[in-house]
Amino acid sequence: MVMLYISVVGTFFVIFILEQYKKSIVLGLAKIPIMFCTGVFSFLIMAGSVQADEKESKAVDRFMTLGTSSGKYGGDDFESFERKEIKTQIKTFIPPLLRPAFTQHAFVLPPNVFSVSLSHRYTEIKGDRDFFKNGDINKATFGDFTVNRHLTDFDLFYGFDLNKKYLHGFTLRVNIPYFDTKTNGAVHPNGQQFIGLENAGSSQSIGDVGIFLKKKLLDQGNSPFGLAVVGAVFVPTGSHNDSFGSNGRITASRPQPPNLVAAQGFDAVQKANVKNGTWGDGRCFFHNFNAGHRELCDGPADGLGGAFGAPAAGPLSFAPGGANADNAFVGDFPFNNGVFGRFSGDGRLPSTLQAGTGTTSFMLGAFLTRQFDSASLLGRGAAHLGFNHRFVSKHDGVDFGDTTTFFASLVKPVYGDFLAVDLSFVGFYHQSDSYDGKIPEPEIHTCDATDIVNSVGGCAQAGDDVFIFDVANRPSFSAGFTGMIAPSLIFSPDPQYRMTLSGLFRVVDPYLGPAPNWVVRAALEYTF
Amino acid sequence: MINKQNHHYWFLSVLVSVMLISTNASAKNLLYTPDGRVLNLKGGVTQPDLSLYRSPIESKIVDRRFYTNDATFMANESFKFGMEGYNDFVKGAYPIAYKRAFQWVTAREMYFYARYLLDFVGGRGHAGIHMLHGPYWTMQSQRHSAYNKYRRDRSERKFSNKDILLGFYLPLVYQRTGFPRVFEDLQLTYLQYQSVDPHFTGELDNSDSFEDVMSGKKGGWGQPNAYFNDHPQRFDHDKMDTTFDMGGIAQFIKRRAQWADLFFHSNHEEESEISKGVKVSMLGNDAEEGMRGWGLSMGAFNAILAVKSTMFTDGKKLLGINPTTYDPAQGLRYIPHKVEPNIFWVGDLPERNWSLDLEDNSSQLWDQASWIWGTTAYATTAHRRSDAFTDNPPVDGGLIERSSGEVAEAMANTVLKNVQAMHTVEGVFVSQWTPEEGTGESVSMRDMTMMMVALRDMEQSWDAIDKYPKVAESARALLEKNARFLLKVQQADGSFYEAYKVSNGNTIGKNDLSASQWAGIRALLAGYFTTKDPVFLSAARKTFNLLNQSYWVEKQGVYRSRKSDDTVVITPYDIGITLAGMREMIFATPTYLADAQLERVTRWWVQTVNQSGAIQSETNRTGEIYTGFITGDDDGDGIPAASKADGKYGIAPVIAGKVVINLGGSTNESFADYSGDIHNPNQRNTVRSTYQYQANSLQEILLPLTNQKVPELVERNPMTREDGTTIPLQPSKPIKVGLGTTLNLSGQEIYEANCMQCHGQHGEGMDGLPLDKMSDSPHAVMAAIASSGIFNGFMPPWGMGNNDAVGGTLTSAEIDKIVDYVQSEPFKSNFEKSQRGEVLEGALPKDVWFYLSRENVAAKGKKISNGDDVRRFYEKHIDPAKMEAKSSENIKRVKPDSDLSISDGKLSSNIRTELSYH
Repeated sequence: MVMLYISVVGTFFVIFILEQYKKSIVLGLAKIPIMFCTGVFSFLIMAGSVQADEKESKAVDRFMTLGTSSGKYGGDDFESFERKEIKTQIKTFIPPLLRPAFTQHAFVLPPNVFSVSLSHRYTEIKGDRDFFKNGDINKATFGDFTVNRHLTDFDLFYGFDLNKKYLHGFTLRVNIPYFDTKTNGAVHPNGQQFIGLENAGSSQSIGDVGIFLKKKLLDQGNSPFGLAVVGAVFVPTGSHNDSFGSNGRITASRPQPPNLVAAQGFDAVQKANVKNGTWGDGRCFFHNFNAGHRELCDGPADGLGGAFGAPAAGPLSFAPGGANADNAFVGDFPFNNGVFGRFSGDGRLPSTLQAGTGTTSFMLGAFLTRQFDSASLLGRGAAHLGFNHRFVSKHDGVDFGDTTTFFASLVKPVYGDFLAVDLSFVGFYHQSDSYDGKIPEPEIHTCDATDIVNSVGGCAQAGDDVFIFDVANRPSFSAGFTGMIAPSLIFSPDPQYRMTLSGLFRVVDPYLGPAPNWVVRAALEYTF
Repeated sequence: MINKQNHHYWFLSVLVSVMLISTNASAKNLLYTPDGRVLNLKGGVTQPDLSLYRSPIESKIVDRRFYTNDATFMANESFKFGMEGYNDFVKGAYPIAYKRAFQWVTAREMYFYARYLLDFVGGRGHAGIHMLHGPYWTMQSQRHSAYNKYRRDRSERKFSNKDILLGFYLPLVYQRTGFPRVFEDLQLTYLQYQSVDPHFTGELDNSDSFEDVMSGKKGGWGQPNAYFNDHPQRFDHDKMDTTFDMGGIAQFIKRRAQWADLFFHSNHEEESEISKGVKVSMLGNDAEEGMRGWGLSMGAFNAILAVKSTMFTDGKKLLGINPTTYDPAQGLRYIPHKVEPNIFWVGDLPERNWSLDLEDNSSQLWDQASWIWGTTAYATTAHRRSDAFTDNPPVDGGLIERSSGEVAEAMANTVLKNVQAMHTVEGVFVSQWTPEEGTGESVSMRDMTMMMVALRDMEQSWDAIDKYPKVAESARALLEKNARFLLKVQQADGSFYEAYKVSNGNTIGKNDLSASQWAGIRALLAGYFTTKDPVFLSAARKTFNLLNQSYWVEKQGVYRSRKSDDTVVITPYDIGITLAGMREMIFATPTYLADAQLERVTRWWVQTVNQSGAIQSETNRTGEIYTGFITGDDDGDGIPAASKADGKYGIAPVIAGKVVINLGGSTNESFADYSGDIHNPNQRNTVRSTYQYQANSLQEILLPLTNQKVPELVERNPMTREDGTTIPLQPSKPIKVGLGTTLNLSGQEIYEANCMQCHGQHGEGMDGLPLDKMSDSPHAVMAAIASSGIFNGFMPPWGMGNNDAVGGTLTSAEIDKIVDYVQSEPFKSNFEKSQRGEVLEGALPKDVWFYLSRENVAAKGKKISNGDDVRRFYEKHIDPAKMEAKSSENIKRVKPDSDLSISDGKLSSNIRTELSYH
């Protein structure tokens, strides 16, 4: 019949064209044979169409040819055809009120169905509660420090099926994260309060783009639960070189005694470094951090009219000099590469505060979903359980550390087909990150006899507290298991749309590093 | 074919049908719809006293699972023995009169146990893929979408299957059947899972509290919540084996087709939702059965379409075929043994098939036979029930395309082609074909029998619809060839082995299994009915005699599953094949010799199926008249109400996967070795058992291998059975004086023994029509109806029988007494009172919803009935578990009915006792 329409429409089209040129004598004369030919041609096509129709003139033929190459519906693969119809059959393949707000699940999208999601997370990590060391709050180092973090994720999902045994039920996902991080406050390296590395920096950067392939292994239709596995590769598109400090400043205060020796030791170190040109003027203590003093510090040397002629009084918070002035050499200045220079040679942020890892990383995971109907003990709802493990290799002297995420979610519709609540537990286990190189860590050291023999830090007698720099491996920034409880609201005004609002609250503190006390997340999703 | 055979009383039947269909009688249980209509529904009735056939047995339920293939086969054979078989027994003038227990176990229990399977497994239990996802609906949604897109509003809107089913078709089904809605959470399946655990997963609410979200009606339906609400009646999906056993799917097609055929047997008059108070003719025997018939037909057709289009195989992958052009010579395409579906299930939507994998690419004869059996039955139904199956539904008043029958026909013919190409060696069937090894070497009795039965139905059906004469002829030839093979391998004592090597008839397995013997009987009689060659009849009777001599255990009332084994193992297949063998043998027995067989059926069924615990529960359809509110086993038959049966919430009334019975007492180690639930029938009520040992039961039941020449023997016309097949009847003798006349039974006694089960104690109608109009019609008219039956009303011809010289089951004198009783003033008065919901003096306990539904209708749907209401009626009735059978209920013949004379009634003052069973 389609051919019939084409032929009829074609005839009229030809006539229409001819009408446009009817003033043309040549075309006017030609109209008759052209119409004749067109008519004959159309008739032949129509005859063919009628003949084709007659082959299926019996209503029963559409049943008989179903699933065969001559069938109207899906040709010789009716099953595949039916599967493609699912998006019409079922407006949203993944029921919006049973899927968790942000954790994973065992559902996959049907073939040729897309879903997009835009989500935003915000958290504030405050030093007096959210940084840990040995499982306790690490106020000594981060007590005056704050991180504000916005994370926006754009996700695109696509369902497909390869229509072969074992190759059914895939969902492809592309995740594009975008980070906006601000830091503020002071960090006290090694917990020493006399040095406060102040910083107010910000960074905006795309993260590592993740490409996920999810495969449904089991459906609850066949087994007591649904099971899906996922593999992902993260392309190193995200910045891993973000550093802060360009707009920051460092203050250092003379350490208040434990005793005079320590104070004098600090002065001695300062003096020695000025003398050998490492520190120079006290104001140059901040050489690489304090743009306002660079000219001074980069000027002529001592005796040549430069600022290093002598330790000078000035806008310093401490004064050099003291009894133990020449006792120690501590090596390279530890703080001349940025606030977070202790984590890298060039002052980059520690890896977990970077947008990207700098290297291609991989992830594997498995997700389990169990649905409950209204006659069950829990009533209508679904439970989800799963984990994923992200493998990140060392790059550029920084090893991010593998991360394992565990989750359990219970989702329960509470108001018809519109509103559901989700209660999730999410746990992150972060392997210790590591950073190549050594750094001198400032330390108030209590002298013993050996120290006196070795002239450590100006030790004069046992029991003295002296100021020294201990040359050590760069410390880890983040490690351990963080657990969060996350209630969410899921609102779905239409099966194709979904909005979620979640709050995540920390209930298990990590061993080391930052862990937000809370995170707020909101998301919008559309399936089509 | 039916028309040709029954033309003698056809005219009268039609006349009476027209009269009865125009009745405004309101009886049965009532349903108050959201729009204020009052519908008549079939309701449960009182179970008669079966204790006379019951004795204690020790049994264990070893496996409570429902195995679709075997259990559905059992249900198919049970259906044919049930109401359909009972009507055929009446028509064949078998001595079933005054056998109320036999009437109950056949026309009620066999019928409803089979129907439970459809209801609970095919719908409520979620034991398969929802019909919503069937290919028929996908095709319809495509067509409607195309129409909508191109010809209506030019929108881009695409309809889903759900749109089509809920928006287009169900409203029509409601209008054309009268039923107001589908059952809540119903999973109208079309592809059945291989096995399921039939325990319920929620608590059944038996009060009248169902809330219909569509209409807003909250309670006051006149029916319990559990009648509509299937949600708690789901089975545990975790315990389902979701594999598609292709034989099981075909058996279920047979199941659906048989039942749709019955449900569309007649039309009914009811108000429709758009007829504005006027009663109009609507599809189905009643509103519920019309709706169910539609669902069953659609389920069956979707299954046929799905398999045709996606589940054939070339041995490597699954594919579809066009059965009208298929030629095995161009490459085999066949139905494999098992297919593994990857089922997709999210949220509240019914699970659906996402993809299919080939699980077992062998071709099994049982499966192929089942497909011929099922599709043949569907084709017959589509052809016979022309009100529902029309050329252009839904616009021409029908609900399903008649051409769907053509698809079934083509499928049956295709499968037969494959059977010939893959499953025969010189015309003898072979059980298995594999892509690697081709045709096998052996055939089991089970498989061969199934195929012979399928071919028997096929050749009869194709003749009946006057199509495919060559196919029918080849089916007959195959049938005869294999019947002769059976003759060749039958042992001298009549026994059969489990299996045979086809090339030489060498035996395989055991020859002492009763299932093989029953299969042999079923197969030989299929051969006999088709060929009319008495050699097959004699062979079948030899096996039948062997079973009764060597397998029957009089004390416990069971056939041994293995001759020398004191542990009887009962599976659904065993029950099914025994039923089939017993039933067909009765039809191959002269009526004057059949009494012992009829008694044996009742005794065997009560013991093997009821007492053993094989049937795991029941509802008000088979005796639990207080729907679980009182004892949980109201009728005291040891079968608990569904909601009170095994498990936390009860279990569906379906056959257990395996039950074992102990015949050897405490020393029987093989019984002790079985682990399972000891079945305690007395758990919820006292079960009375008063069966008395019958010393002469063996001599009575044995049959002569060839028909004997006895005085007054007359030849008989072939009989067309309810399923449309025609069988030869054995020469027999007419009844001269009816048993009721000989015993001088009253009209009431004759009525209650023979008519009450369907028409109700006071004529209120149950399965049968109410008798109010009849009571005012001329005596001769009512007598004529009772005599000739109503073909379209499923009323058997009690007086006319098969319209041959043997006559009917009842004599005209007995029928006259019935008519006198029904047309008497007390009966009429009782009818009126009964219709008002009064509990009459001496009324037998009756399904309590008969009364509750009337109270609800009187209150215009505002009466919310609950357990307290149920107890009011319980207190008015006698205890159904303590009812005792009247002496006129279960009369065992001491001599054939045909040999009775008036003088027999005078021989003894205690003749009733003498003639009674006990």
